[in-house]
Amino acid sequence: MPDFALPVLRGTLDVLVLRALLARPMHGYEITSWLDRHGGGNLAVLDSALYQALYRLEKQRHIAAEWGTTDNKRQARYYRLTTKGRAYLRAETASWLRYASTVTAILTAPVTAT
Amino acid sequence: MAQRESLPARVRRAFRLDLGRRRSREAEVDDEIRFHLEQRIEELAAAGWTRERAEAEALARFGPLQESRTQLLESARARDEVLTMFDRFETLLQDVRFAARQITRAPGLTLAVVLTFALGIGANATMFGVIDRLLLRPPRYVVHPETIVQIAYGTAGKDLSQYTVNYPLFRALRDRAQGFTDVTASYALQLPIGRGESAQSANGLAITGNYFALLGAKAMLGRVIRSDDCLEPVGNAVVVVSHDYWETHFAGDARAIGKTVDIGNRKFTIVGVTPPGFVGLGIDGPDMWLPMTAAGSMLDVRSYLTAGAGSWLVVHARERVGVPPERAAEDAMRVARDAVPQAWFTGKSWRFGAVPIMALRGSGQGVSSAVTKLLGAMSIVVLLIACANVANLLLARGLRRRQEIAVRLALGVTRERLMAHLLTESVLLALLGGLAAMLVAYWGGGIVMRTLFNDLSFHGSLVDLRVMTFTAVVTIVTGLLTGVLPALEVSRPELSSALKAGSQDVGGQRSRTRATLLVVQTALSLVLLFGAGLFVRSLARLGTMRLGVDVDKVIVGSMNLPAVGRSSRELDQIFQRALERVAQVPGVAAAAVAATVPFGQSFGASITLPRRDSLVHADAMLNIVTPDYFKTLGAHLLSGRDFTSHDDEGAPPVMIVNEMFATRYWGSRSPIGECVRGGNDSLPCVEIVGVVENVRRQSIFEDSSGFIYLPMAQRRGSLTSRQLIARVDRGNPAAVVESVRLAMQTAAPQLPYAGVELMANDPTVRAGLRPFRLGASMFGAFGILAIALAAVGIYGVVSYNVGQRTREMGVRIALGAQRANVAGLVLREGLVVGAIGTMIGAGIAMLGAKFVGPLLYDEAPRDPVVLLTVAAILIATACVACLVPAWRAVKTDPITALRSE
Repeated sequence: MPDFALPVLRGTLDVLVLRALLARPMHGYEITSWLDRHGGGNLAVLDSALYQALYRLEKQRHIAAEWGTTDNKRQARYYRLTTKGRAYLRAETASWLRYASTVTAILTAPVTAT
Repeated sequence: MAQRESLPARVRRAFRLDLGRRRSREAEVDDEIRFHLEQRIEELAAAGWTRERAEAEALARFGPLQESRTQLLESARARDEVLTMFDRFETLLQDVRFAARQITRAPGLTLAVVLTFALGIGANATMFGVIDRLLLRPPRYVVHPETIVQIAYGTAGKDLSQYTVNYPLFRALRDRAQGFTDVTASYALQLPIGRGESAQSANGLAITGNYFALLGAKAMLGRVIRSDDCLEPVGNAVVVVSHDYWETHFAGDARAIGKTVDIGNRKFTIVGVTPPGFVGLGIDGPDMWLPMTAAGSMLDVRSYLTAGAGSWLVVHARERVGVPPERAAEDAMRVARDAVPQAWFTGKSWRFGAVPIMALRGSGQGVSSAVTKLLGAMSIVVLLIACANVANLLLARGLRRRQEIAVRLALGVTRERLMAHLLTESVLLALLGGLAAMLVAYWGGGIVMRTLFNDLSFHGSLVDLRVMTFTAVVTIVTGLLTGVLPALEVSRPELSSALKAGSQDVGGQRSRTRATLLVVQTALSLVLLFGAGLFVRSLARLGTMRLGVDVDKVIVGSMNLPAVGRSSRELDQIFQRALERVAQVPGVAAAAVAATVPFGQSFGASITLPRRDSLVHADAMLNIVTPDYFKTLGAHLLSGRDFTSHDDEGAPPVMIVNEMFATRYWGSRSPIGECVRGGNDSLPCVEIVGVVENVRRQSIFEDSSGFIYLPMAQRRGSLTSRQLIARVDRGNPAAVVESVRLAMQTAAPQLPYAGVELMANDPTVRAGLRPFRLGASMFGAFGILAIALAAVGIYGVVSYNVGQRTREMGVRIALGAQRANVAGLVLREGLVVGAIGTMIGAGIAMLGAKFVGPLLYDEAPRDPVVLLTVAAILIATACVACLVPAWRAVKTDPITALRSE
């Protein structure tokens, strides 16, 4: 893990996982790869924390799991987005974007004397 | 590694198959972790890492393994818990949806089942509602009603049967009885409100000052009556009115407080209104409460504050914590003997008791707990019959669904799941039935209340939260109870194999189960009908019982003249005028005035009988009457003559005695011409001129007392109360009541309200007859319901069997069987069920007879006539139910029947 990795904000991991699953059902390892790929390796997440997030999301019925077979004929637990999870992701994304743009706007405001 | 199930979960769900047992959670989590680490290692190895470094890196990225595993297992457990709950809920939802589809698919059957449930559960809900109102529900707004007792007394060794004492005793108990924290007294009376044309009457309760305090009840508006309102000898003229009275007479206007009401000859100020539903300690409440010491002249008891001989006050007390009721009652008796030694009930042979008010509920209304238990048991029998009927219908439907069930069993549906479905269906049906039962209870309860309890005022509908809760519980239990047998039967594994073989014969076993259910139903129906028969016979015998008075032909009119300050001379003049007017009313055949009438007050008198060699001092009941009194009542004169208008002040004194009195003192000899002295032997001799049959004094069931009757014209002033009676021979007596009231009301200006009522409506008479009326009508209604259900059940099973045996019938007819033989074959089925059911039912009825026996009047609880009649009705019904199936069997076309195979 690179030393300059960004700590993931509490609760953000859930949304990231949901986003990963938006494309297609994946097993846990695929999700970590996906996050690495799309985060440019900048996210500091322990793999066990990812599984915690997956179980939590399952409990909230945002995702559902089923055992399936990988391309190499291995058994893996596949996670897919539920309708409820999809709606949650949509709402969270919107609120995150609004929050981020607000914070960005404030932080990047030109410094002027008033 | 896990195996995928052979059928996808969606398919399995659609067929309600088991979704497959999950592997242990621990194994799953471990598999998942292992898979993850292996993937990572493989990827790193592929990127050129050495095996050892790759493994170390994978573990590092995963996090501390042991700790993480524990946390993940915990999360998985929490997750599974929630998901299992959702799963169960979803399964239930699916079962319900599935059941709903099944139910809507067969609307006819559903209707039959729901109707049966509605009637069965409705009967129970109605019964519960009635019993709850009358017996179970504690009075509202009373604090800790379970610690309030009523003082009762009886002779040692016998039941406590008397409930009234007098004012001096009440005062002594209140001040000196150690076993109670407080003692209060009350007396119910009719209050004459206003005078003349606008005169009215209200039910009043004269109370002592601590009444409301003892109950712990508060006023909704204004204040309650307090001790300082009830000072002796004359209390404040204040009155508290009931919520109902306030709404009907004052339109619920808060300004009613402070208004005055003319009661008797005083103006009473309204000081408070009770909360809605407050009735004091009984079932039915008065219109108003007023201080006993202010009721004064309205009370029939003269000098009541000091008279310690009579008994008229009801006394309630609050138990003292830690004092057993028996000890408290003994102490009360000690106080009583000391305070009123002259009262008859303080004699040696009497004992006091402190009876919890809830134990006395209903006793005044003729709803004893024995009758109630019987009615409750009966409604449970109705429910059992309904259950048997529904079980039968469901079983029949289950058999028609054999194909579908066989498929599901073959697909591997477990028997438990299948039973869960079938039970869900029956519970769903029961819930629909339960809803309909609320309607049945609403209407049925209304009818029961209006016809059998129309003398009691009830607040709101019979169906309230308590009844609904009861119904809900009964409904669920019934649904499960009904579903179990068909579910067990239909889900039997061997059923499917039998089906696969294409066998036609599976019906045999099932129809035996169905026939058994029918036998049970028939047997229970017989029990109900038998009970109905016994009560109807009791009621009929009661109808022919001689009371000495025709209660449904005699109208009683009373008017509280002393309450408005009229003297006893005026009183007699007014009643004489009223008598003349009433006698002219169309429909009135005879009329009379008397000091008291049957089921009214009682007056005792001391008499002396001069015998050949001694004087006998005795007591007798006394009444003072005008000529035609006996004719008006319908009492038979057994010998001698009635009083005439010539028996007046100038004529020699005469009396009529009743049969009881005559036989007690003269045996079989005639007492006519004998002499009786009133009071002591210094008074003049009164000659007996007639003997009249025994007339009831205070209840329908009583041992007759010795009575003497004196002509009113010779006894003016000796008893001051007056009642008017009129006999109606033609037409509807109820229609004459108003005319009689009008005639009485206009006999003089400014009279108080005349209370006129048919004697049959007297609370005492009604309470006496109520157990039999209740028994006859409820048993009758439920018996008819039961027999109808049995008939439908028999029809259903027999016609189902005929359908099953179409081929057999066809063969028989083809082989030349007589049509009559074929019909006989079918009829026999119904007859066998009817006969076996009747026999078993007769057995149950004989066993149950000992519980019913004490509740009957002059009727053997094992009356063979009733039994035979009921059995005949049942068997005839069974035959009628078989007629249509028999007709169908006879009409079987052999060719079609054979071809259909």
